[in-house]
Amino acid sequence: METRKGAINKILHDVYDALCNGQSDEMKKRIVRVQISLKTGLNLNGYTPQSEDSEADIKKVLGVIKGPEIGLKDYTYKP
Amino acid sequence: MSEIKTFASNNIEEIIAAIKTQNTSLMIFFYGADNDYKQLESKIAPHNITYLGCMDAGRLISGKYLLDEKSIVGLSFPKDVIEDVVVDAVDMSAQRTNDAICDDSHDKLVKAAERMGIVLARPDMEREFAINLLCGLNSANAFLAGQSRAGLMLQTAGGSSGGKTDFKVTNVISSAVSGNVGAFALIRLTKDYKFLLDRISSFDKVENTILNVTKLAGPRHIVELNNKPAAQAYCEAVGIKADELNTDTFANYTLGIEPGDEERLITSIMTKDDDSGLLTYNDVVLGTQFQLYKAKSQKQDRARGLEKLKGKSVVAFVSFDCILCYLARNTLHEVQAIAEVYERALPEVPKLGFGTFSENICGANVNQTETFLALYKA
Repeated sequence: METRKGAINKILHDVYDALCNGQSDEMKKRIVRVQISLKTGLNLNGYTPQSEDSEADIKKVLGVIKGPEIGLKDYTYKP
Repeated sequence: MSEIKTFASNNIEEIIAAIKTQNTSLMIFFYGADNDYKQLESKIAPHNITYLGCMDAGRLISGKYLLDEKSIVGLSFPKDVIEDVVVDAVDMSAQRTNDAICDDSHDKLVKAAERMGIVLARPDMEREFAINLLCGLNSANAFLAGQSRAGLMLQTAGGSSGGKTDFKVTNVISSAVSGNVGAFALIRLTKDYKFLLDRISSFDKVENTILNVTKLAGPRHIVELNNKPAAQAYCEAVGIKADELNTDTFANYTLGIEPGDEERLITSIMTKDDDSGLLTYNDVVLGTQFQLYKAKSQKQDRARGLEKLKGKSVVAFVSFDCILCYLARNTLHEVQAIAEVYERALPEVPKLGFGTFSENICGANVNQTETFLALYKA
């Protein structure tokens, strides 16, 4: 199974940068995490800068962040 | 300044007389299953109130839980606290598709926000939010997805209506439409007040028990966990034999996912299906990595959850608390003890709540959890 080190952690931080600047950052980050967990069924606490993330899980997360709720349609993952 | 008021009675007119002022901005009602919602509506109508409410199987009012089927509780917010509010509702009757409910929920929230001048992409995270009371006969997920699409960062809290345990009749009332609907109140507080939304559940993680959903027959029907018949995999994780599985097991051992920072999104198991699968109270997606949790007494977690309000001058507390938590309190003889937890943490603060058939917070539909809304002085 192909993996990428720290990919999901990086994607989460990219989403935070895009959506959570300004007031109440922590609540906004929480909303983003809840939405991704709900739609993917993934426990996000396991994804760290060191974790080896499967291509399948990365694909699920990318699908949600480009979806209608989070709406980052043009997002591209750059390691 | 006018007060936030609560009152309980078997007569809605008595409640309105006790809590309505010329300055009332919004009222919330929760009522037992013996109340006919059309009669309630007709008695509220002459008062020209902006309101929402729902049927339940138990309700909280300052200092006590009411577990009968006749009583009604009400809370009124004055204009000094709620600067602006729009209440609207979406038809959630069984014949409607999820897509139609989702689209309607999206469109009505957008319309309400436009009317109030709320920018849904960038709401004021301290003053603008929504309360959702949704028809418990239908899944809340489509309604919540519509709201998230309209404004992901708009914070929301609420619950789905309940009633008698045969669960044949339940309804929601609102100053927009009533019946099998999902009603929301989009709210902006005055500059003198802020809000806090949060959730509390009472479970210990059962270590090394990840149950992957590997086959579904429908959004609430798990056929396989970890590539085994779902009931078998669940029993193995719990540590019991298949013939020992019963409703107490489901109440005591629940499933959930963890988005991070100790957040837990609980999905409870309703029952076993006719074969070897499991039916849940919440929608599940294929590939979900469920963690198994064991229920524990609610006292400590409730007290700890309310600590977030310490130091804040709280003026109102609204609780959306799973009916399974109500039932667990009955079983553990903790009903009054838990009511007193709230009184100790928030003495003299007006409180209102109901036993939900699933709770929601910020787009997530969850089970066996209390979601709550607290308003406090800025």
